[in-house]
Amino acid sequence: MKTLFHFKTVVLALIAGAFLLGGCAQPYTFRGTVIEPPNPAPDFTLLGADGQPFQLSAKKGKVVLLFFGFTRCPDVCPTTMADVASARTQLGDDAKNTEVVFVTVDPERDTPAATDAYVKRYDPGFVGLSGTPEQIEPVKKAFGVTAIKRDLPNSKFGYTVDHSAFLYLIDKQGAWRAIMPFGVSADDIASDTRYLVRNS
Amino acid sequence: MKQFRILLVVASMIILTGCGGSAGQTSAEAPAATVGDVRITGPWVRATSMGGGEAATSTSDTAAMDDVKMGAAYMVIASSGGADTLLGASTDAAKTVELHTVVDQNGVMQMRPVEGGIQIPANGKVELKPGGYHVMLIGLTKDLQAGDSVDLTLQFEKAGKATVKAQVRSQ
Repeated sequence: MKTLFHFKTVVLALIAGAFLLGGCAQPYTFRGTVIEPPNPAPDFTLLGADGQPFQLSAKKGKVVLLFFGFTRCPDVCPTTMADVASARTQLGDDAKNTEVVFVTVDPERDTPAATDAYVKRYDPGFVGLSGTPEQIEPVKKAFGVTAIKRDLPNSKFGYTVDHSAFLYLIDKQGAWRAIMPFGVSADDIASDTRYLVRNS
Repeated sequence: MKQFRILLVVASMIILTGCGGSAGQTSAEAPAATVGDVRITGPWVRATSMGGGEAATSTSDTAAMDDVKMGAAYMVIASSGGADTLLGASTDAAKTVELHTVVDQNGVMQMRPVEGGIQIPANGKVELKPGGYHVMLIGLTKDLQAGDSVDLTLQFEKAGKATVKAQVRSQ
């Protein structure tokens, strides 16, 4: 009987442990690169559709996913925007507490209205921002974004903009928490965003 | 004793399945087109519209956007014989079609036209995918909605021409 009692205890302990592990009770591991310590994200004000100002810090209370690109970008930007749109679909109700912001690195060609219309094709909730080159420059600098205009003489494209294609994750307190490189999956974007929506 | 053994099994099952990752997806596809030794599989074009936002665009903005609508087509091209080169492509869906690639230099994505075409190795394959080689559609003649398809004619140096129906998808 005694051995049986011990056996029972072991089984109960195992079940308890199983539920702990099964619930993934270990601390969350970010899929993106974590910014440590989380500093306040550099604030900026740029222009949205119809020229109304958009201030990043006014979005506190929401998780902001920030991306820099341009509307003529045919491969990298659509890929990222489609992945973010898919991630937002996965988030369900948590998507209400997110704001996806796309800042153009090609203000000469992209008006605020054109930028906004471009991103809204992927998700009507996305926001596209532009401004004068003088307004965009410090924002790029603050986030460490490289954007270099390159003429493509042998292409109908005219010129392209080589640009950093990171996705910046800013939590609900306005702190810059993580960076995701180009090519992360929609699942990874959804996972980190959901964590920040629920834990910041 | 028997019940305990069952409980043990249940416990280990919970442990095993609790934090399970997602299974990878693979699918063997029938070629979309075959010409000579060249086989094209899984051609797709990214949708330029997911059905949202158009209502918010005024007519003047739409006109301004028209000449800048870009698209990209992706596929896998394999050769079961000698090496070949994809020299170019054409479609009714865009004014100009070019072959481009993207080079990732420390996170800075640099898109460039491909000089001399995209090489298909002998008895090998080349993958055209986001963030890499793609067939760029410059000046789309219409919005590409998911579910539509685009006829794309590919010109190979040795195998000649092949036309594929590329599915329009959001991802």
